[in-house]
Amino acid sequence: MYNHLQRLNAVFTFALTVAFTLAFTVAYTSLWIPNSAQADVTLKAIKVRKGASVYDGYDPQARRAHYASLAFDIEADVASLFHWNAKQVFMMIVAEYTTPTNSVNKVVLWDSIIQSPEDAQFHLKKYRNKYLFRDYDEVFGATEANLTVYWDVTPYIGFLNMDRYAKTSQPILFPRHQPGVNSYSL
Amino acid sequence: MEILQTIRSFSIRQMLLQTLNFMMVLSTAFMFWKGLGLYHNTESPIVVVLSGSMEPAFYKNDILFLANPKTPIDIGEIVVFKVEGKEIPIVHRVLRVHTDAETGSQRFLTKGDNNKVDDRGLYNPGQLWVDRKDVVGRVRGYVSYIGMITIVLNENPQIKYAVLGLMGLMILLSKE
Amino acid sequence: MSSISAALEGTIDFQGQVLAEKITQIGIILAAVLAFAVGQFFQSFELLLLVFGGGVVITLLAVLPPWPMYNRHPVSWLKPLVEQSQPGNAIHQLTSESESEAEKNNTK
Repeated sequence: MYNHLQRLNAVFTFALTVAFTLAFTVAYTSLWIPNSAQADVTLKAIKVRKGASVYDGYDPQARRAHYASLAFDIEADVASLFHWNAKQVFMMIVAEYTTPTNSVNKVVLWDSIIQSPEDAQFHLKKYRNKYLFRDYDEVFGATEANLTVYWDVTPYIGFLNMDRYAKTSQPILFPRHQPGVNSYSL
Repeated sequence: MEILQTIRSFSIRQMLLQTLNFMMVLSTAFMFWKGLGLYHNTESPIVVVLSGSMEPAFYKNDILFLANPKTPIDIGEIVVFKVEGKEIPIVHRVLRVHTDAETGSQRFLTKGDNNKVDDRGLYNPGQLWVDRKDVVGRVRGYVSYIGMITIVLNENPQIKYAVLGLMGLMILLSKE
Repeated sequence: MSSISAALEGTIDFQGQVLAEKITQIGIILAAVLAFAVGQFFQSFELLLLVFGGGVVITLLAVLPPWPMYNRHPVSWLKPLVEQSQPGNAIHQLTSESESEAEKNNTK
């Protein structure tokens, strides 16, 4: 503490130590913040057709595989997830199903990044899947699937993937047999 | 001038001791890093984000803490994986998961939050999936704002050199 | 010349160093506690960063320059013994040694 340089060093070192402690405190106390929010998805229509609706040059089966097109309503209020250490909420709608080939299949159909509590309440009607929905196999190996809303909170400082909420709505049924023929709406 | 005098007043032994001390600090940090990696079963427990493909979740130069437990990876998790033959690992979100009914091994399709399309264009030609063994870490902790500091430092090299020079001087001149 | 370099170095006396150390610790810990409380209360992480950063800057301003309050207890050295012309004088050697010892402590 005798001269400028030593005082600068001392203040800087101590500030860094305290900053680390502060960061740890923020990260750990954020784990205790209760987070509950509401989100629900309702399937409105589903159609299965052969061949991708958009060009997918990386998928060698893009012309032959079966693709499902869905329309769904999303009603969500996740404003309560925005605590002081929440940077963004990542929300997605996932189709979950089981086939003989794969015991667990989870496919994201739609996702959204919510960056402020003002944008966290919405009611979207007849939204289509954002990403192509096909099975691992060429043809859907399942007759039904569950639509689920997932979200996770990205903090400014802290832990990821510690809490993730899922609410399942009614199961959806794949129109089997002839693609393009057996579509139905609810 | 006084600084030069101080340096000159150091004997060779003192200089060597200082160097050894400095190396000890470095190796302590390295051991800490290795220990953390061992605990979390990952080669690199702390990584720096190299691209903006995960914005606005992660910005360039932000710091991520990784772990790689053997539990199944869930959809929406952010994983760090390596494409065979490519050096630099990629940090992206899991868009699709398929778990093989027979072997129980997982296959993933990934996508960057800030990218329009999935990662098949980043994989090797003909590669459709990322295997579980390609995943080198799962993002567990995150520190933001550090990226901004490094960006400011990189855009103003004078500040960087001033800070580095000052730190070097402090190490050289500290007589303990 | 020496006064210029002293001003550049910004030296302070022993009790000043103790005071500066105390102010550093209290200032930065207070900044952290205040930052956490303010951030929590206004539910804003940005505010936490601003308060902590501001606290560190204020502490730096309070501690870094050699303010007069850090130089209120200048070390009053003993008067040097009258030079005795005989070389190898035991007393003379002893004093000069202890003086250089004091100087060394001073630079720490």
